[in-house]
Amino acid sequence: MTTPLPLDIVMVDDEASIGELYEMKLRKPIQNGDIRFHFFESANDYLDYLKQSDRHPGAEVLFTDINMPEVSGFELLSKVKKNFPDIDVYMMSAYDDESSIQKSKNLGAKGYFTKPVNYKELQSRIESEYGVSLA
Amino acid sequence: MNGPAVNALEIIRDIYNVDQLLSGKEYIRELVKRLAQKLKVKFVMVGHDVEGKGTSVQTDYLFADGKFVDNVVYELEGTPCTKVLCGTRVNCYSAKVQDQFPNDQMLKDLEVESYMGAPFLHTNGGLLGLLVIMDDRPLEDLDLATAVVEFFAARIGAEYRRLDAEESLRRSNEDLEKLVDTRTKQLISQEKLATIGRITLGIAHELKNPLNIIINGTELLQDSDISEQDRARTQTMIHQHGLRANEIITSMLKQARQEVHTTEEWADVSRLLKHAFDVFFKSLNDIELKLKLIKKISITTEVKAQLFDVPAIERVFINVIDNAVYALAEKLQKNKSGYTPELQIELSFKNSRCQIRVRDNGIGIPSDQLKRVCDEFYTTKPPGDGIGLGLWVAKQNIEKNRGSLKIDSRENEYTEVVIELPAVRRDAEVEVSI
Ligand SMILES: Nc1ncnc2c1ncn2[C@@H]1O[C@H](COP(=O)(O)OP(=O)(O)OP(=O)(O)O)[C@@H](O)[C@H]1O
Ligand SMILES: [Mg+2]
Repeated sequence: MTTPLPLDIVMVDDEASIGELYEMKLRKPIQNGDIRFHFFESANDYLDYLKQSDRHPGAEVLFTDINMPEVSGFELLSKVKKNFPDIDVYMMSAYDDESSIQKSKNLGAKGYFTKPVNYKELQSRIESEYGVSLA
Repeated sequence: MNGPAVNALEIIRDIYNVDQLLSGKEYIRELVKRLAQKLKVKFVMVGHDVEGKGTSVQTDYLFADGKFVDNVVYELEGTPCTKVLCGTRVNCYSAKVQDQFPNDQMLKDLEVESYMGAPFLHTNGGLLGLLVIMDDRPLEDLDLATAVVEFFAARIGAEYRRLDAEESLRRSNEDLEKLVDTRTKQLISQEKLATIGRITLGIAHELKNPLNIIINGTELLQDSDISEQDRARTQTMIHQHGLRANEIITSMLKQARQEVHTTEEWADVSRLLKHAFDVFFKSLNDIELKLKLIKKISITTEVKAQLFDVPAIERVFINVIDNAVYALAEKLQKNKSGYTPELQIELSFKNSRCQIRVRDNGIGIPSDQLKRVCDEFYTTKPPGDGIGLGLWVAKQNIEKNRGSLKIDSRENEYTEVVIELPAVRRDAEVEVSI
């Protein structure tokens, strides 16, 4: 699949440090202009952003935590899938039980990473799915 | 009427005519003194059989030569008292009592000449004690002395039995109190463990967050091409989250501790309530409910209260939220479609009191059961889901902190728990824990 560059990688997690870590991890592709990285501490912040952002279909991918106060990752997933079906959604959660994974699949998640997320796995998944280099 | 009988009656009446407000030991003491005075004898003593063995006597009142003296314990063998204790009636040696009991040292020491004693008994007929009069002269009016001693032995016996009954009642009350106390402690610690059990999953998740950052951060440090600035930042993060993980465990241990907190400390009620909700919600397995649940959380920040046993108050919040979520899950089970479970959690502050309101639109409580929900062991949940102590313990903990806990409900519509506690808001300079 060819993806218009840069790819927007969005991460939603109530843990701010997660955003910082990934930003550091993705420093290179960000500097190269291959990706843009956006981090939101709550699902609502991201949903608000979605309303006003000017997006290119197929150029945005979302990674979201499940366990968040107020709006959970499941809710975010179903809302995004309903209103922006072209955004691929991946779950990132400490839950590793079958029912959470199944639920995510049913709601339209494209993938499921258990925390702590293996960065290499995440990287190769993004590279193969979206044809960008994160190295 | 003959002389001695009239005389005996008069003396009895005379002795008996003590201050009617006296009772128990004071009363017996007064009788003993009057006995000595009216009968004109040198010694009067009242004692009881030690350990019911009939081998020795402990005196409880010993009146000698016009005053009370220190009590003594003496062996019965070889004394006239043995004879008293063997019988049920008066035993008398009107003169030369020492000749008959040559081994009785006390009789010698006191130069006793005459002796009269009468036993008093337990209601079951067993021996309780005895009343003895002694004098250093022969007893003159034997009939009179017999009548008087017999009468007062009976009277004193009644008083002894009453004191005994009171004492055993007091002791059994005390035992009962102790039993209730231990049982209550057991119940509270049972409830404590049940509550902690309910949030362990949430605590595990809470702990996973900092651990994930530590793990991912360490991996990042292994990248050779990371900038100095990022390296420093990552190290700080790892350290911070290490501390955070430690804090989570510390606070969990604090919850599990068995000690009773007897002093008050300042607590941030806002944070306590929020944490209770977060950790409980993270423990919730019911994905279906989690997904459908509408949460209306409105927690005024910086509300502080001086509380006894802060961890216990957090458990109160957890229990109340647990009850609400359970009621929502129950209702959701029955109404798969067309029902939106809603949970409202509110903390407000007004007039130096804070109000915590937890409201759910779950199964509700039938109106005839509403009075019972705070009762010990009242539960409608199957074993394993509840033991019926949550609200019982909650109410006690809140009331201990000068607060109140009220529940309102309508079956199949809603349940609302309102907790009020004395509190302050930010402006007050207080030291805060938790
Ligand atoms: N929010 C609520 N909605 C409906 N019923 C409730 C609610 N809160 C309490 N109850 C009723 O009151 C009972 C007693 O509650 P309580 O918290 O004291 O015990 P429990 O939840 O059954 O057991 P546990 O000791 O585990 O808390 C419950 O079993 C339930 O029937
Ligand atoms: Mg309960």
